[in-house]
Amino acid sequence: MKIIYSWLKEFVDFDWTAEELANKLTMTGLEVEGIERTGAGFKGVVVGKVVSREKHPNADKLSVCMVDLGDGHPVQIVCGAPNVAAGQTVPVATVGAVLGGDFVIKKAAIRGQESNGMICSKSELGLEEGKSDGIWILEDSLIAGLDFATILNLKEDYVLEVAITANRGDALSHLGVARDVAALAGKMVRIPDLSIDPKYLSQSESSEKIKIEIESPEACSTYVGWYLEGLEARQSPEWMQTRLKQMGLRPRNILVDVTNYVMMELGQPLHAFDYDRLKTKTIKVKTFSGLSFTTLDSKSRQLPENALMICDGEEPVAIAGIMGGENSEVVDSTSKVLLESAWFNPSSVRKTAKKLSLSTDSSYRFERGIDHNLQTIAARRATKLIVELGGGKASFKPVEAVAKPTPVLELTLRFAQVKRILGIEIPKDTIHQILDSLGFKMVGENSTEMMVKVPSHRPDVTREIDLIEELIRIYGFHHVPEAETVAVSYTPEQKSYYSEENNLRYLLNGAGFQEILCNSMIPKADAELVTSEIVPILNPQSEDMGIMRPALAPGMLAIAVKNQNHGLADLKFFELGHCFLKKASKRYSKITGYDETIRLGFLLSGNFMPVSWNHESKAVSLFDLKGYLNAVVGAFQFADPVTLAVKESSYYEDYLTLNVKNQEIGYLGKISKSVQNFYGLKQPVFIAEFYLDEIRSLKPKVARYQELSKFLPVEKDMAFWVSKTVAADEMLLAIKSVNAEFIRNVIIFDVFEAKQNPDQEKSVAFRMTLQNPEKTFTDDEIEGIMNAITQTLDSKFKARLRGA
Amino acid sequence: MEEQIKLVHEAIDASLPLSSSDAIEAFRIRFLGRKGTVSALFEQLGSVPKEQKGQVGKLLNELKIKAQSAIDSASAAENGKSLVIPKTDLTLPGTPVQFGRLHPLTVVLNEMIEIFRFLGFSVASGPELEHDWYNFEALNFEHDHPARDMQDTYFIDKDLLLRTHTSPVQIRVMENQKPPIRSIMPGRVYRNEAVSARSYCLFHQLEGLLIDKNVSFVDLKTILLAFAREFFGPQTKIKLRPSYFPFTEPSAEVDVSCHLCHGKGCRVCKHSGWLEILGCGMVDPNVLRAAKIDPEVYSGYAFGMGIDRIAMMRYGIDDIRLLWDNNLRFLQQF
Repeated sequence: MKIIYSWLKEFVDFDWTAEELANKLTMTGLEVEGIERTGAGFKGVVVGKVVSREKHPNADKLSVCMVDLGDGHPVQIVCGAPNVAAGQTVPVATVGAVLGGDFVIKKAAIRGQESNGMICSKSELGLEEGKSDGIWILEDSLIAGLDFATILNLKEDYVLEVAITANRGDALSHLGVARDVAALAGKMVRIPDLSIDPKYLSQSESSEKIKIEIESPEACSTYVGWYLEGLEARQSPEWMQTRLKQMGLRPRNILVDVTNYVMMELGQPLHAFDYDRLKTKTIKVKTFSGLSFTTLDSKSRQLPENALMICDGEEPVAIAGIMGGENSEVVDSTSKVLLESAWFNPSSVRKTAKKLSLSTDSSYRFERGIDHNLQTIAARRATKLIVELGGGKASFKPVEAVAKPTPVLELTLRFAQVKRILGIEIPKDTIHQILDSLGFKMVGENSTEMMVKVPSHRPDVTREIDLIEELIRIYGFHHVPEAETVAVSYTPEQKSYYSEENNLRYLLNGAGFQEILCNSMIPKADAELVTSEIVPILNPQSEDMGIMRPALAPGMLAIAVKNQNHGLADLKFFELGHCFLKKASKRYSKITGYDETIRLGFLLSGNFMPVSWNHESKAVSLFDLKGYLNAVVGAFQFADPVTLAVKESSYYEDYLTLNVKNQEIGYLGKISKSVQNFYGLKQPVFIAEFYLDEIRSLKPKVARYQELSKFLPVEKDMAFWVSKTVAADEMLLAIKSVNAEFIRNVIIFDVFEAKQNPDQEKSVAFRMTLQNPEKTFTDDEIEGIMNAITQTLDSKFKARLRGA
Repeated sequence: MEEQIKLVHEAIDASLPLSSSDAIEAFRIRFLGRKGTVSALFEQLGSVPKEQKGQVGKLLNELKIKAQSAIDSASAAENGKSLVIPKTDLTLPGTPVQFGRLHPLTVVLNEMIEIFRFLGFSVASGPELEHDWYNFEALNFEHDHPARDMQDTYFIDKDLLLRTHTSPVQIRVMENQKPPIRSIMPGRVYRNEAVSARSYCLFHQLEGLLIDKNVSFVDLKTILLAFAREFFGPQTKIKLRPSYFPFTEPSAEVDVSCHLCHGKGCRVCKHSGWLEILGCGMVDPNVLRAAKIDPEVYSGYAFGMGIDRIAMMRYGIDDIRLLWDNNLRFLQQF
């Protein structure tokens, strides 16, 4: 909302500068986002007469002029404009003049010739965009020496851009803002002059010309119509046009301009119908459904269900509170007008405006609530301005249809409640003064509380807490001190995963993984590669952000490509974030039909280690990622072991799931060639995701100390030929099962294919750490264990001990 | 000519290695001296046919470089003879180990969470996919009220949306916990706003909620000042301006004195000396009632701030999209 400084002063007295006003408004909740200085962009410019013009002796393109500035003593001015000539009347910035806010004109010598000012072009005076063709040549009738700003009627003024919050519909006018200023300044507002000069009034009443029937009293409580005749759609006066332009409105003619002017002045949207274009003279306010209607901007609009319309009999002529129709708008030939000033229900206007995607100055104000008692006042003000400024006659009385009187709200303010909420006491006389200047009427008071009537312009104030807000808004938050202590009741710390998640982050940082955060909204094609159970957004900003991510992989891959295209190929990422699936029922979701879970994702690609002088770089493999996952699983500390299952996946060509007691807790894989191509990735990418909700549901391991063996462990290596179909994992389990008590650890330290039949056989070499908690092993005992291992592997997998 | 060059190559090879300063000087005179073999060949270059000159010249240059570098390396070795040669060059770089880093938003968020935990707040969380009830209705956003325009919303279906703020977690916390309540609620929120350098369609918020008996605006201001001083520095001042949020009443915007210019005015604070960082207020009685808490018995305050904007201020990031591009060179700066 734009507020014009000089206009505001018509409603309330204050002696603050525009900057001071802006600060004060901001501190009452009407945030001023900018101040624009308007009017003359110059000072000290006068009308001059060019007495003579000669070429500059030292410069081809300059002229030396003698200019009369009105005092009969022409001064010498050097001018660079090609169009300067003797006899011209021109604007002259005299010595000491200020242009463009800060450019001061000084006496100077230009190429050796004295110059006492500057003959100006339009653009130099800030009255034309860009660069003017030459100096501005004025009418000869202007007298030398006159102040040029005065001639142009350019008065200094300020336009404040005020951000009005959604609850403050009352502040969408100069009168409304003036009320807050009055409360701040301890003054009262002035209502503008509403008396109409009797010579502009006819003897007839509006009711002789128009009938009003309100069929939807909920949606329209009051409808005031005023009949005017003998009008001309001429231009409105210069001062009104200037203000409308400053407000960002385009002046049209006095009939339309006055409706806009009064709306900006008092906050009541008005509409002027061309009376002669109304088919019958009965205005009906009623709802319509599914109608096509052409508004005055010449657009045909399909009206939604139950749109409130103004009708001339049966035909709609305006969408109530939003926009008039083309069929009844004021045109150049209009001589009779029906002026509408009504109260429409905020929610009804909003519903229709929303569905039409049409927001106007009028609908904006109705949606935020108009003063119930303003309709007749605003109609009178507009009528006065139209006839007094533009001629014509108005009926001496409007038609006022009130379908539903609005009750006055009375509120009780408990003084103790002010203290309870704000923590401070506001002196009672200050409370009185604030509420009074905001228009609240005292209707009773005792030692503990007071009763006030809420003024009709504040429909947002409905409760005691709203009154308390009004008080502190004007009194100022600077009156609220900070306490010296932060006194608290004890609250047990609520269970959260904040620390746990952070520990994971730091763990992964230490392992070299960079944290990334990806957009949760991803393209449909990317999501559908992962699953068909996608969660689409009804109103996405773009197709690229149409689906809630079903997994972390798509986002991470998109980031991998971006980095790859910036020449960054060695990638080690993790992300912790929410993923979304459409599912009938799910354990961890708070929303029926959807599954929102927290995942921890990993991405690995490129070289495993940066190039260095002391080791070779190596491309990452699935086993590198698997190693990290194994370490992270260790950190999770489950009571039960994690098992792996090799599975099929179209997204991954090598794919494993991680499981605890048949519950899948995550997966890892190498993305398939087709996914790699889909994203345009030049090298293999490995991805893993942990399902943190599942993991959090698992039984944690409880740490118990076990006595350390005093006897030295023995390490033994054994290698076996075995079919390539046998899983190494199973061989490890089999070895451990031979003697769980003594075989403390087994690792695989070598795997290779048989030379003779590489497609069928491989060699797997194990290193066993054997330890007896009770005593030192004898050679026989060790041999016994090794034999048992050989036999077990032979019987289970037909494995043959190598070198045996 | 090429044959001659080849012979000189062989001659140079034959005279290496140069194991004394005398040998180096003799070598220099023999090949590169004014009357040396190589110099002599260069003199003959003039008589080479024009079309071969380029090729021969190139070969001659190579020859000269070879002789010169033999002298250089032998001289260097000769000069170094008096120095102690270390067994291992300890100045070689260590085996590269790279730590990953946290995303800058996590860094800032963690710092804030730690401050509030220090002040006695627990961390709570809630879903990003949220019901209208939690996101709007229970927070005193009426249907068909312009307050709903304050937050452009993404919808999943008629009743389900992507939360536009972390405030719905307030309701979820109040449903699950009896007062006293002291919670902070960090998380991701979504707004259907055009992506530009200044705004993105999702960002992060940190919400705070305290409900207890006899909680007043004084307590709110106290906790906000404590936070501002912990986060922005001990000299920080705060300023409250009245504002409007449907779920708090009275409501205020909080400005902190600019941590860069200390209130003098700079580019970051747009020469105002203040940074707008946070919205706050006393929990609206309608919100307490929606969560089945009696507003005549309990009162409370709530506050919320945008993490992304604060991170941008802190690090001087001028384009919010950088936070979501995840360029490694960007991420490794934090």
